[in-house]
Amino acid sequence: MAEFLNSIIPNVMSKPDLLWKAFVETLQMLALTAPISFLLGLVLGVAVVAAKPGGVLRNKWVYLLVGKVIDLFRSIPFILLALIMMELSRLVVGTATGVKGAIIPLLFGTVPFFARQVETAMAEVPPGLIEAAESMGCGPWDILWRVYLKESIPGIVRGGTITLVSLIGFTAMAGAIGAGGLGNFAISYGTRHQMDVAYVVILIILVMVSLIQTVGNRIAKKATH
Amino acid sequence: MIRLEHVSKIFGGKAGVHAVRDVSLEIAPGEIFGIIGYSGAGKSTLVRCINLLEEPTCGKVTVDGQVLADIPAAGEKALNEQVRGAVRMPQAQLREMRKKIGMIFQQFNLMPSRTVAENVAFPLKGSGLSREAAAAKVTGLLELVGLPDKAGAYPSQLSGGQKQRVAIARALANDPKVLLCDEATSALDPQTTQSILRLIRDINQKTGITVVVITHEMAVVKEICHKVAVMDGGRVVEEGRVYDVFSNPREEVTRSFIATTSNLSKVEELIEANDPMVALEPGELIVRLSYGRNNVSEATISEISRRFGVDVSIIYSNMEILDGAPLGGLVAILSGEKGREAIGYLSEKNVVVEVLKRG
Repeated sequence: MAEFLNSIIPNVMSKPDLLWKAFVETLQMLALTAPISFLLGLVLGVAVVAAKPGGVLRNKWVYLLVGKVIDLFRSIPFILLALIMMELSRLVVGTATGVKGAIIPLLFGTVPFFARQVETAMAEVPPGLIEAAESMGCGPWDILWRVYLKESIPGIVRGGTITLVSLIGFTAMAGAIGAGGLGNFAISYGTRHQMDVAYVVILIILVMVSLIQTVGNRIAKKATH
Repeated sequence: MIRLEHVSKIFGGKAGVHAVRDVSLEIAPGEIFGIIGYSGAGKSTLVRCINLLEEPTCGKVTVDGQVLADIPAAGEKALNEQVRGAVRMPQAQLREMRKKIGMIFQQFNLMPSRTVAENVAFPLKGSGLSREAAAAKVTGLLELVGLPDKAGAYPSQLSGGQKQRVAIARALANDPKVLLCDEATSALDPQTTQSILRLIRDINQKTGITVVVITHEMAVVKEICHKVAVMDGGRVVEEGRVYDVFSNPREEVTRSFIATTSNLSKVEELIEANDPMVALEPGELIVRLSYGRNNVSEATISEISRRFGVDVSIIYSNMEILDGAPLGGLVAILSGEKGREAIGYLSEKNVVVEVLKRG
Protein backbone atom coordinates (compact mmCIF):
# COMPACT_ATOMS: atom_id res chain seq x y z
CA MET A 1 0.00 0.00 0.00
CA ALA A 2 2.71 2.43 1.05
CA GLU A 3 4.68 1.43 -2.00
CA PHE A 4 1.72 2.12 -4.25
CA LEU A 5 1.17 5.56 -2.69
CA ASN A 6 4.89 6.30 -2.97
CA SER A 7 4.70 5.61 -6.66
CA ILE A 8 1.64 7.79 -7.43
CA ILE A 9 2.02 10.66 -4.91
CA PRO A 10 5.73 10.66 -4.10
CA ASN A 11 5.90 14.32 -3.12
CA VAL A 12 3.08 13.97 -0.59
CA MET A 13 4.49 10.78 0.91
CA SER A 14 7.83 12.51 1.42
CA LYS A 15 6.27 15.12 3.79
CA PRO A 16 3.15 13.68 5.50
CA ASP A 17 3.81 15.75 8.64
CA LEU A 18 3.63 18.97 6.63
CA LEU A 19 0.35 17.90 5.04
CA TRP A 20 -1.07 17.07 8.45
CA LYS A 21 0.07 20.42 9.84
CA ALA A 22 -1.53 22.24 6.90
CA PHE A 23 -4.77 20.30 7.38
CA VAL A 24 -4.90 21.20 11.07
CA GLU A 25 -4.25 24.86 10.25
CA THR A 26 -7.16 24.87 7.83
CA LEU A 27 -9.40 23.31 10.47
CA GLN A 28 -8.22 25.94 12.97
CA MET A 29 -9.08 28.76 10.58
CA LEU A 30 -12.54 27.28 10.05
CA ALA A 31 -13.12 26.64 13.74
CA LEU A 32 -12.14 30.20 14.71
CA THR A 33 -13.89 32.04 11.92
CA ALA A 34 -17.10 30.07 11.38
CA PRO A 35 -18.77 30.63 14.79
CA ILE A 36 -17.90 34.35 14.90
CA SER A 37 -19.09 34.80 11.31
CA PHE A 38 -22.27 32.95 12.10
CA LEU A 39 -23.10 35.26 15.00
CA LEU A 40 -22.08 38.52 13.33
CA GLY A 41 -23.74 37.56 10.04
CA LEU A 42 -26.93 36.65 11.86
CA VAL A 43 -27.01 39.97 13.71
CA LEU A 44 -26.39 41.98 10.52
CA GLY A 45 -28.90 39.94 8.51
CA VAL A 46 -31.57 40.38 11.16
CA ALA A 47 -30.73 44.09 11.40
CA VAL A 48 -31.30 44.54 7.67
CA VAL A 49 -34.62 42.66 7.75
CA ALA A 50 -35.83 44.49 10.85
CA ALA A 51 -34.80 47.93 9.60
CA LYS A 52 -35.97 47.62 5.99
CA PRO A 53 -38.91 49.78 4.87
CA GLY A 54 -42.05 48.19 6.30
CA GLY A 55 -39.96 46.05 8.67
CA VAL A 56 -40.84 45.54 12.32
CA LEU A 57 -38.21 48.06 13.48
CA ARG A 58 -38.05 50.12 10.32
CA ASN A 59 -35.19 52.59 10.28
CA LYS A 60 -34.04 54.09 7.02
CA TRP A 61 -30.55 54.99 8.23
CA VAL A 62 -29.69 51.64 9.79
CA TYR A 63 -31.01 49.91 6.68
CA LEU A 64 -28.96 52.06 4.30
CA LEU A 65 -25.79 51.96 6.41
CA VAL A 66 -25.74 48.22 7.09
CA GLY A 67 -26.79 47.42 3.53
CA LYS A 68 -24.06 49.59 2.00
CA VAL A 69 -21.35 48.23 4.28
CA ILE A 70 -22.34 44.67 3.39
CA ASP A 71 -22.33 45.50 -0.32
CA LEU A 72 -18.97 47.23 -0.07
CA PHE A 73 -17.16 44.23 1.42
CA ARG A 74 -19.04 41.80 -0.79
CA SER A 75 -17.84 43.59 -3.89
CA ILE A 76 -14.11 43.35 -3.07
CA PRO A 77 -12.53 40.15 -4.41
CA PHE A 78 -11.29 38.17 -1.43
CA ILE A 79 -7.66 38.05 -2.49
CA LEU A 80 -7.57 41.88 -2.51
CA LEU A 81 -9.61 42.10 0.69
CA ALA A 82 -7.03 39.87 2.40
CA LEU A 83 -4.26 42.20 1.22
CA ILE A 84 -5.86 45.43 2.41
CA MET A 85 -6.85 43.84 5.74
CA MET A 86 -3.24 43.13 6.66
CA GLU A 87 -2.80 46.44 8.47
CA LEU A 88 -6.02 46.02 10.44
CA SER A 89 -5.03 42.48 11.31
CA ARG A 90 -1.69 43.67 12.71
CA LEU A 91 -3.58 46.27 14.73
CA VAL A 92 -6.21 43.90 16.15
CA VAL A 93 -4.52 40.51 16.57
CA GLY A 94 -0.90 41.65 16.33
CA THR A 95 0.05 39.78 13.18
CA ALA A 96 -0.93 39.49 9.53
CA THR A 97 0.40 36.00 8.96
CA GLY A 98 -0.36 32.50 10.16
CA VAL A 99 -3.68 31.22 11.33
CA LYS A 100 -4.09 34.15 13.70
CA GLY A 101 -3.40 36.67 10.95
CA ALA A 102 -6.01 35.07 8.71
CA ILE A 103 -8.96 35.57 11.02
CA ILE A 104 -9.65 39.25 10.34
CA PRO A 105 -9.65 38.97 6.54
CA LEU A 106 -11.67 35.76 6.71
CA LEU A 107 -14.28 37.47 8.89
CA PHE A 108 -14.53 40.42 6.52
CA GLY A 109 -14.97 38.01 3.65
CA THR A 110 -17.53 35.76 5.32
CA VAL A 111 -19.73 37.94 7.54
CA PRO A 112 -21.25 40.09 4.76
CA PHE A 113 -21.76 36.99 2.64
CA PHE A 114 -23.60 35.17 5.43
CA ALA A 115 -25.56 38.30 6.39
CA ARG A 116 -27.07 38.34 2.87
CA GLN A 117 -27.82 34.62 3.14
CA VAL A 118 -29.67 35.24 6.41
CA GLU A 119 -31.53 38.16 4.88
CA THR A 120 -32.62 36.03 1.91
CA ALA A 121 -33.77 33.20 4.17
CA MET A 122 -35.78 35.59 6.33
CA ALA A 123 -37.31 37.33 3.33
CA GLU A 124 -38.98 34.04 2.47
CA VAL A 125 -41.08 34.08 5.63
CA PRO A 126 -44.61 34.86 4.34
CA PRO A 127 -45.78 38.37 5.35
CA GLY A 128 -49.04 36.79 6.51
CA LEU A 129 -47.19 35.13 9.41
CA ILE A 130 -45.86 38.51 10.53
CA GLU A 131 -49.33 40.02 10.32
CA ALA A 132 -50.79 37.11 12.29
CA ALA A 133 -48.15 37.55 15.00
CA GLU A 134 -48.92 41.29 15.15
CA SER A 135 -52.62 40.54 15.45
CA MET A 136 -51.81 38.31 18.44
CA GLY A 137 -50.11 41.19 20.22
CA CYS A 138 -46.46 40.29 19.52
CA GLY A 139 -43.90 43.07 19.73
CA PRO A 140 -41.07 43.57 17.21
CA TRP A 141 -38.46 41.53 19.12
CA ASP A 142 -40.94 38.71 19.64
CA ILE A 143 -41.66 38.71 15.92
CA LEU A 144 -37.97 38.69 14.97
CA TRP A 145 -37.16 35.88 17.35
CA ARG A 146 -40.28 33.71 17.43
CA VAL A 147 -41.43 34.13 13.84
CA TYR A 148 -38.68 35.36 11.51
CA LEU A 149 -35.77 33.37 12.95
CA LYS A 150 -37.75 30.32 13.96
CA GLU A 151 -39.41 30.01 10.55
CA SER A 152 -36.23 30.59 8.56
CA ILE A 153 -34.07 27.99 10.32
CA PRO A 154 -33.94 25.68 7.26
CA GLY A 155 -33.00 28.61 5.01
CA ILE A 156 -30.37 29.84 7.46
CA VAL A 157 -28.88 26.34 7.69
CA ARG A 158 -28.70 26.16 3.89
CA GLY A 159 -27.13 29.62 3.75
CA GLY A 160 -24.71 28.61 6.50
CA THR A 161 -23.66 25.56 4.50
CA ILE A 162 -22.96 27.64 1.41
CA THR A 163 -21.05 30.14 3.53
CA LEU A 164 -18.93 27.43 5.14
CA VAL A 165 -18.04 26.02 1.74
CA SER A 166 -17.02 29.43 0.47
CA LEU A 167 -15.07 29.96 3.71
CA ILE A 168 -12.97 26.90 2.87
CA GLY A 169 -12.20 28.56 -0.44
CA PHE A 170 -11.22 31.75 1.38
CA THR A 171 -8.85 29.87 3.71
CA ALA A 172 -7.06 28.45 0.67
CA MET A 173 -6.68 31.95 -0.75
CA ALA A 174 -5.56 33.33 2.59
CA GLY A 175 -2.98 30.54 2.58
CA ALA A 176 -1.57 31.87 -0.66
CA ILE A 177 -0.61 35.14 1.04
CA GLY A 178 0.91 33.60 4.13
CA ALA A 179 -1.78 32.21 6.37
CA GLY A 180 -0.71 28.59 6.18
CA GLY A 181 -3.16 25.77 5.77
CA LEU A 182 -3.91 23.48 2.84
CA GLY A 183 -3.96 26.31 0.33
CA ASN A 184 -0.51 27.42 1.35
CA PHE A 185 0.75 23.83 1.23
CA ALA A 186 -0.61 23.25 -2.26
CA ILE A 187 0.77 26.49 -3.67
CA SER A 188 4.17 26.10 -1.99
CA TYR A 189 4.83 22.70 -3.56
CA GLY A 190 2.35 22.38 -6.38
CA THR A 191 4.09 25.16 -8.27
CA ARG A 192 7.45 23.37 -8.04
CA HIS A 193 6.57 20.53 -10.41
CA GLN A 194 4.98 18.61 -7.51
CA MET A 195 1.48 18.58 -8.96
CA ASP A 196 0.53 15.49 -6.94
CA VAL A 197 0.54 17.77 -3.86
CA ALA A 198 -2.07 20.00 -5.45
CA TYR A 199 -4.21 17.04 -6.45
CA VAL A 200 -4.17 15.56 -2.96
CA VAL A 201 -5.10 18.93 -1.42
CA ILE A 202 -7.96 19.29 -3.89
CA LEU A 203 -9.14 15.81 -2.98
CA ILE A 204 -9.07 16.59 0.74
CA ILE A 205 -11.00 19.83 0.22
CA LEU A 206 -13.49 18.01 -2.00
CA VAL A 207 -14.15 15.50 0.78
CA MET A 208 -14.54 18.29 3.35
CA VAL A 209 -16.98 20.19 1.14
CA SER A 210 -19.09 17.11 0.41
CA LEU A 211 -19.19 16.29 4.08
CA ILE A 212 -20.33 19.80 5.02
CA GLN A 213 -22.90 19.86 2.24
CA THR A 214 -24.33 16.48 3.26
CA VAL A 215 -24.58 17.37 6.93
CA GLY A 216 -26.06 20.80 6.06
CA ASN A 217 -28.68 19.30 3.76
CA ARG A 218 -29.64 16.78 6.39
CA ILE A 219 -30.09 19.38 9.13
CA ALA A 220 -32.06 21.65 6.80
CA LYS A 221 -34.31 18.77 5.83
CA LYS A 222 -34.89 17.84 9.43
CA ALA A 223 -35.83 21.42 10.30
CA THR A 224 -38.37 21.62 7.46
CA HIS A 225 -41.90 20.54 8.31
CA MET B 1 -68.37 46.33 21.46
CA ILE B 2 -66.82 47.86 18.35
CA ARG B 3 -67.46 51.40 17.27
CA LEU B 4 -65.98 52.97 14.18
CA GLU B 5 -66.61 56.68 13.68
CA HIS B 6 -65.83 58.38 10.39
CA VAL B 7 -62.92 56.06 9.70
CA SER B 8 -60.94 56.71 6.52
CA LYS B 9 -57.76 55.13 5.26
CA ILE B 10 -55.65 56.52 2.45
CA PHE B 11 -52.63 54.57 1.26
CA GLY B 12 -49.55 56.22 -0.16
CA GLY B 13 -49.78 59.95 0.40
CA LYS B 14 -52.04 62.67 -0.87
CA ALA B 15 -52.81 61.22 -4.27
CA GLY B 16 -52.95 57.73 -2.85
CA VAL B 17 -55.61 55.06 -2.83
CA HIS B 18 -58.65 55.91 -0.78
CA ALA B 19 -59.29 52.40 0.56
CA VAL B 20 -61.83 53.30 3.23
CA ARG B 21 -64.01 56.40 3.08
CA ASP B 22 -65.74 57.80 6.11
CA VAL B 23 -67.09 54.54 7.54
CA SER B 24 -69.09 54.57 10.74
CA LEU B 25 -70.27 51.27 12.20
CA GLU B 26 -71.50 50.09 15.55
CA ILE B 27 -71.20 46.39 16.32
CA ALA B 28 -73.04 45.17 19.41
CA PRO B 29 -71.63 42.61 21.85
CA GLY B 30 -72.35 39.01 20.85
CA GLU B 31 -73.31 39.95 17.33
CA ILE B 32 -72.06 38.24 14.17
CA PHE B 33 -71.55 41.16 11.84
CA GLY B 34 -70.86 40.62 8.15
CA ILE B 35 -69.01 43.06 5.93
CA ILE B 36 -69.47 42.12 2.30
CA GLY B 37 -67.96 43.65 -0.79
CA TYR B 38 -66.15 42.83 -4.00
CA SER B 39 -62.36 42.71 -3.93
CA GLY B 40 -61.02 46.22 -3.69
CA ALA B 41 -64.09 47.46 -1.82
CA GLY B 42 -61.92 48.20 1.22
CA LYS B 43 -63.31 45.59 3.57
CA SER B 44 -59.99 43.97 4.46
CA THR B 45 -58.48 47.37 5.20
CA LEU B 46 -61.51 48.29 7.29
CA VAL B 47 -61.25 45.16 9.44
CA ARG B 48 -57.55 45.90 10.01
CA CYS B 49 -58.53 49.31 11.31
CA ILE B 50 -60.37 47.54 14.14
CA ASN B 51 -57.19 46.00 15.63
CA LEU B 52 -55.03 48.77 14.19
CA LEU B 53 -52.95 46.53 11.95
CA GLU B 54 -53.75 49.49 9.74
CA GLU B 55 -53.91 52.84 11.44
CA PRO B 56 -56.77 54.91 10.05
CA THR B 57 -55.78 58.12 8.32
CA CYS B 58 -58.55 59.71 10.30
CA GLY B 59 -61.45 58.59 12.43
CA LYS B 60 -62.06 57.03 15.80
CA VAL B 61 -61.80 53.35 16.70
CA THR B 62 -63.27 52.13 19.98
CA VAL B 63 -63.23 48.49 21.07
CA ASP B 64 -64.76 47.32 24.32
CA GLY B 65 -64.97 50.88 25.59
CA GLN B 66 -61.31 51.63 24.96
CA VAL B 67 -60.20 54.14 22.36
CA LEU B 68 -57.51 52.56 20.16
CA ALA B 69 -57.12 55.59 17.95
CA ASP B 70 -58.83 58.92 17.55
CA ILE B 71 -57.35 60.86 14.71
CA PRO B 72 -59.14 64.04 13.72
CA ALA B 73 -59.63 64.77 10.07
CA ALA B 74 -57.42 67.70 9.21
CA GLY B 75 -57.65 67.92 5.47
CA GLU B 76 -54.24 67.45 3.95
CA LYS B 77 -52.62 67.54 7.35
CA ALA B 78 -54.27 64.21 8.10
CA LEU B 79 -51.43 62.61 6.19
CA ASN B 80 -48.93 64.19 8.51
CA GLU B 81 -47.96 62.29 11.63
CA GLN B 82 -48.30 65.42 13.73
CA VAL B 83 -52.02 66.02 13.54
CA ARG B 84 -53.05 68.01 16.56
CA GLY B 85 -55.27 66.19 18.99
CA ALA B 86 -54.57 62.73 17.58
CA VAL B 87 -54.93 60.06 20.25
CA ARG B 88 -53.21 56.73 19.88
CA MET B 89 -53.17 53.95 22.41
CA PRO B 90 -49.56 53.38 23.53
CA GLN B 91 -47.90 50.40 21.78
CA ALA B 92 -47.62 48.22 24.88
CA GLN B 93 -51.27 48.77 25.74
CA LEU B 94 -52.30 48.20 22.13
CA ARG B 95 -50.53 44.83 22.16
CA GLU B 96 -52.44 43.81 25.26
CA MET B 97 -55.63 45.00 23.58
CA ARG B 98 -54.89 42.88 20.49
CA LYS B 99 -54.79 39.79 22.67
CA LYS B 100 -58.46 40.44 23.28
CA ILE B 101 -59.15 40.70 19.54
CA GLY B 102 -58.54 37.38 17.82
CA MET B 103 -58.09 37.28 14.05
CA ILE B 104 -58.20 34.55 11.42
CA PHE B 105 -57.13 34.85 7.81
CA GLN B 106 -57.87 33.49 4.35
CA GLN B 107 -54.43 31.87 4.16
CA PHE B 108 -54.63 30.57 7.77
CA ASN B 109 -51.14 31.94 8.58
CA LEU B 110 -50.12 29.09 10.83
CA MET B 111 -46.42 28.85 11.70
CA PRO B 112 -45.16 25.96 9.54
CA SER B 113 -42.25 25.08 11.82
CA ARG B 114 -44.49 24.64 14.86
CA THR B 115 -46.85 21.81 15.64
CA VAL B 116 -50.58 22.35 15.99
CA ALA B 117 -50.27 22.52 19.78
CA GLU B 118 -47.34 24.94 19.55
CA ASN B 119 -49.30 27.13 17.16
CA VAL B 120 -52.26 27.30 19.51
CA ALA B 121 -49.92 28.00 22.44
CA PHE B 122 -48.09 30.73 20.48
CA PRO B 123 -50.16 33.69 21.76
CA LEU B 124 -50.09 32.35 25.35
CA LYS B 125 -46.49 33.43 25.88
CA GLY B 126 -46.44 36.14 28.51
CA SER B 127 -49.98 35.36 29.61
CA GLY B 128 -48.72 34.26 33.02
CA LEU B 129 -50.16 30.77 32.65
CA SER B 130 -48.08 27.92 34.07
CA ARG B 131 -46.82 25.29 31.65
CA GLU B 132 -49.53 22.88 32.81
CA ALA B 133 -52.28 25.47 32.61
CA ALA B 134 -51.18 26.45 29.11
CA ALA B 135 -51.12 22.81 28.00
CA ALA B 136 -54.59 22.27 29.43
CA LYS B 137 -55.79 25.40 27.66
CA VAL B 138 -54.42 24.14 24.33
CA THR B 139 -56.05 20.73 24.80
CA GLY B 140 -59.38 22.39 25.58
CA LEU B 141 -59.16 24.63 22.53
CA LEU B 142 -58.29 21.74 20.23
CA GLU B 143 -61.29 19.86 21.55
CA LEU B 144 -63.48 22.91 20.97
CA VAL B 145 -62.48 23.03 17.30
CA GLY B 146 -62.75 19.27 16.88
CA LEU B 147 -59.08 18.40 16.46
CA PRO B 148 -58.05 16.80 19.76
CA ASP B 149 -55.92 14.18 18.00
CA LYS B 150 -53.88 16.60 15.89
CA ALA B 151 -51.84 18.28 18.63
CA GLY B 152 -48.54 16.83 17.43
CA ALA B 153 -49.14 17.29 13.71
CA TYR B 154 -47.49 20.00 11.62
CA PRO B 155 -49.66 22.40 9.58
CA SER B 156 -48.36 20.89 6.32
CA GLN B 157 -50.02 17.62 7.31
CA LEU B 158 -53.47 19.21 7.65
CA SER B 159 -56.24 19.95 5.16
CA GLY B 160 -57.40 23.53 4.58
CA GLY B 161 -60.40 23.14 6.86
CA GLN B 162 -58.26 21.65 9.63
CA LYS B 163 -55.76 24.49 9.27
CA GLN B 164 -58.53 27.04 9.71
CA ARG B 165 -59.76 25.17 12.80
CA VAL B 166 -56.28 25.39 14.30
CA ALA B 167 -56.19 29.10 13.42
CA ILE B 168 -59.52 29.57 15.19
CA ALA B 169 -58.18 27.76 18.28
CA ARG B 170 -55.10 30.00 18.21
CA ALA B 171 -57.22 33.14 17.83
CA LEU B 172 -59.27 32.12 20.87
CA ALA B 173 -56.27 31.30 23.07
CA ASN B 174 -56.41 34.52 25.08
CA ASP B 175 -60.21 34.41 25.51
CA PRO B 176 -60.78 37.38 23.22
CA LYS B 177 -63.97 39.41 23.22
CA VAL B 178 -63.85 39.90 19.47
CA LEU B 179 -63.04 37.54 16.59
CA LEU B 180 -62.15 39.10 13.24
CA CYS B 181 -62.51 36.77 10.25
CA ASP B 182 -60.82 38.08 7.11
CA GLU B 183 -62.15 35.99 4.20
CA ALA B 184 -61.71 33.01 6.49
CA THR B 185 -63.56 30.59 4.22
CA SER B 186 -62.55 31.93 0.82
CA ALA B 187 -59.83 29.34 0.32
CA LEU B 188 -62.09 26.45 1.30
CA ASP B 189 -64.53 24.28 -0.64
CA PRO B 190 -68.27 24.77 -0.03
CA GLN B 191 -68.65 21.85 2.37
CA THR B 192 -65.66 22.82 4.48
CA THR B 193 -66.90 26.42 4.41
CA GLN B 194 -70.17 25.23 5.91
CA SER B 195 -68.44 23.36 8.71
CA ILE B 196 -66.15 26.28 9.58
CA LEU B 197 -69.10 28.69 9.59
CA ARG B 198 -71.02 26.33 11.85
CA LEU B 199 -68.04 26.19 14.20
CA ILE B 200 -67.85 30.00 14.32
CA ARG B 201 -71.57 30.20 15.02
CA ASP B 202 -71.32 27.60 17.79
CA ILE B 203 -68.45 29.46 19.43
CA ASN B 204 -70.44 32.70 19.15
CA GLN B 205 -73.42 31.10 20.85
CA LYS B 206 -71.34 29.37 23.53
CA THR B 207 -69.08 32.24 24.49
CA GLY B 208 -70.98 35.31 23.36
CA ILE B 209 -67.91 36.48 21.44
CA THR B 210 -68.49 39.30 18.98
CA VAL B 211 -67.63 38.20 15.45
CA VAL B 212 -66.80 40.34 12.43
CA VAL B 213 -66.92 38.41 9.16
CA ILE B 214 -65.31 39.85 6.04
CA THR B 215 -66.38 38.12 2.86
CA HIS B 216 -67.21 38.47 -0.80
CA GLU B 217 -69.67 35.59 -0.64
CA MET B 218 -73.31 36.32 0.13
CA ALA B 219 -73.73 32.66 1.10
CA VAL B 220 -71.44 33.26 4.09
CA VAL B 221 -73.46 36.25 5.27
CA LYS B 222 -76.67 34.30 4.78
CA GLU B 223 -75.33 31.38 6.77
CA ILE B 224 -74.21 33.03 9.98
CA CYS B 225 -74.54 36.81 10.13
CA HIS B 226 -77.11 38.73 12.14
CA LYS B 227 -76.29 42.05 10.57
CA VAL B 228 -74.51 43.01 7.41
CA ALA B 229 -72.81 46.05 5.92
CA VAL B 230 -72.34 46.20 2.17
CA MET B 231 -69.16 47.97 1.05
CA ASP B 232 -68.47 49.48 -2.32
CA GLY B 233 -65.66 51.83 -3.27
CA GLY B 234 -64.51 52.16 0.33
CA ARG B 235 -67.91 53.18 1.65
CA VAL B 236 -70.59 51.31 3.53
CA VAL B 237 -73.50 51.73 1.11
CA GLU B 238 -76.08 49.70 2.96
CA GLU B 239 -76.35 48.28 6.44
CA GLY B 240 -78.88 46.53 8.57
CA ARG B 241 -80.27 43.20 9.71
CA VAL B 242 -79.47 40.51 7.16
CA TYR B 243 -83.12 39.78 6.57
CA ASP B 244 -84.03 43.39 5.94
CA VAL B 245 -81.14 43.95 3.58
CA PHE B 246 -81.93 40.77 1.67
CA SER B 247 -85.64 41.28 1.43
CA ASN B 248 -85.43 44.92 0.52
CA PRO B 249 -82.08 45.77 -1.07
CA ARG B 250 -81.72 49.42 -1.97
CA GLU B 251 -78.37 49.50 -3.72
CA GLU B 252 -77.39 47.97 -7.03
CA VAL B 253 -74.31 46.32 -5.50
CA THR B 254 -76.47 44.67 -2.83
CA ARG B 255 -78.80 43.32 -5.50
CA SER B 256 -75.89 41.92 -7.42
CA PHE B 257 -74.70 40.08 -4.31
CA ILE B 258 -78.15 38.69 -3.69
CA ALA B 259 -78.34 37.57 -7.30
CA THR B 260 -75.26 35.40 -6.76
CA THR B 261 -77.07 33.26 -4.23
CA SER B 262 -80.43 32.93 -5.92
CA ASN B 263 -81.39 31.77 -9.38
CA LEU B 264 -84.20 34.31 -9.63
CA SER B 265 -81.98 36.59 -11.66
CA LYS B 266 -81.10 33.95 -14.23
CA VAL B 267 -84.31 34.68 -16.09
CA GLU B 268 -82.77 37.92 -17.31
CA GLU B 269 -80.09 35.92 -19.07
CA LEU B 270 -82.77 33.74 -20.65
CA ILE B 271 -84.70 36.78 -21.83
CA GLU B 272 -81.60 38.31 -23.28
CA ALA B 273 -80.77 35.07 -25.11
CA ASN B 274 -84.37 34.82 -26.39
CA ASP B 275 -84.69 31.38 -24.90
CA PRO B 276 -87.86 29.50 -26.01
CA MET B 277 -88.66 28.99 -22.33
CA VAL B 278 -89.45 32.68 -22.03
CA ALA B 279 -91.11 33.19 -25.42
CA LEU B 280 -94.42 34.98 -24.86
CA GLU B 281 -97.81 35.09 -26.55
CA PRO B 282 -99.38 38.54 -26.89
CA GLY B 283 -100.78 39.67 -23.56
CA GLU B 284 -98.54 37.51 -21.48
CA LEU B 285 -96.12 38.94 -18.91
CA ILE B 286 -92.99 37.63 -17.23
CA VAL B 287 -92.94 38.77 -13.63
CA ARG B 288 -90.61 38.30 -10.69
CA LEU B 289 -92.32 38.15 -7.31
CA SER B 290 -90.42 38.61 -4.06
CA TYR B 291 -91.97 37.62 -0.78
CA GLY B 292 -91.12 38.71 2.70
CA ARG B 293 -91.72 37.16 6.07
CA ASN B 294 -95.32 38.41 6.26
CA ASN B 295 -96.72 36.93 3.11
CA VAL B 296 -94.56 33.95 2.24
CA SER B 297 -97.04 31.54 3.73
CA GLU B 298 -100.08 32.98 1.97
CA ALA B 299 -101.45 31.26 -1.10
CA THR B 300 -101.18 34.37 -3.27
CA ILE B 301 -100.69 32.47 -6.52
CA SER B 302 -103.84 30.39 -6.17
CA GLU B 303 -105.58 33.53 -5.03
CA ILE B 304 -104.82 35.51 -8.21
CA SER B 305 -105.65 32.55 -10.40
CA ARG B 306 -109.05 32.30 -8.82
CA ARG B 307 -109.85 35.97 -8.51
CA PHE B 308 -108.56 37.27 -11.80
CA GLY B 309 -108.62 34.16 -13.95
CA VAL B 310 -104.92 34.42 -14.82
CA ASP B 311 -102.79 31.39 -15.54
CA VAL B 312 -99.50 31.38 -13.70
CA SER B 313 -96.78 29.17 -15.05
CA ILE B 314 -93.79 29.15 -12.77
CA ILE B 315 -90.33 29.21 -14.34
CA TYR B 316 -88.23 29.38 -11.17
CA SER B 317 -88.98 29.59 -7.53
CA ASN B 318 -86.70 29.98 -4.57
CA MET B 319 -87.15 29.92 -0.86
CA GLU B 320 -84.63 30.59 1.88
CA ILE B 321 -84.52 30.81 5.62
CA LEU B 322 -82.59 33.90 6.63
CA ASP B 323 -81.80 34.74 10.22
CA GLY B 324 -84.68 32.43 11.17
CA ALA B 325 -87.25 33.96 8.83
CA PRO B 326 -88.36 32.78 5.40
CA LEU B 327 -87.59 34.76 2.28
CA GLY B 328 -88.75 33.62 -1.11
CA GLY B 329 -89.53 34.56 -4.66
CA LEU B 330 -90.54 33.20 -7.99
CA VAL B 331 -90.40 34.01 -11.66
CA ALA B 332 -93.53 33.19 -13.61
CA ILE B 333 -95.40 33.87 -16.85
CA LEU B 334 -98.81 35.42 -16.30
CA SER B 335 -101.40 35.02 -18.99
CA GLY B 336 -104.96 36.25 -18.92
CA GLU B 337 -107.04 39.41 -19.44
CA LYS B 338 -106.65 40.73 -15.91
CA GLY B 339 -102.88 40.55 -15.51
CA ARG B 340 -102.70 44.19 -14.47
CA GLU B 341 -105.30 43.75 -11.77
CA ALA B 342 -103.56 40.62 -10.51
CA ILE B 343 -100.33 42.60 -10.13
CA GLY B 344 -102.15 45.32 -8.31
CA TYR B 345 -103.55 42.78 -5.89
CA LEU B 346 -100.12 41.27 -5.25
CA SER B 347 -98.66 44.70 -4.54
CA GLU B 348 -101.41 45.28 -2.03
CA LYS B 349 -100.29 42.09 -0.30
CA ASN B 350 -96.77 43.55 -0.07
CA VAL B 351 -95.35 41.20 -2.65
CA VAL B 352 -92.72 43.04 -4.67
CA VAL B 353 -93.57 42.62 -8.36
CA GLU B 354 -91.19 43.34 -11.23
CA VAL B 355 -92.42 42.98 -14.80
CA LEU B 356 -89.46 41.66 -16.77
CA LYS B 357 -90.98 41.24 -20.24
CA ARG B 358 -94.27 41.87 -21.98
CA GLY B 359 -95.57 39.72 -24.84
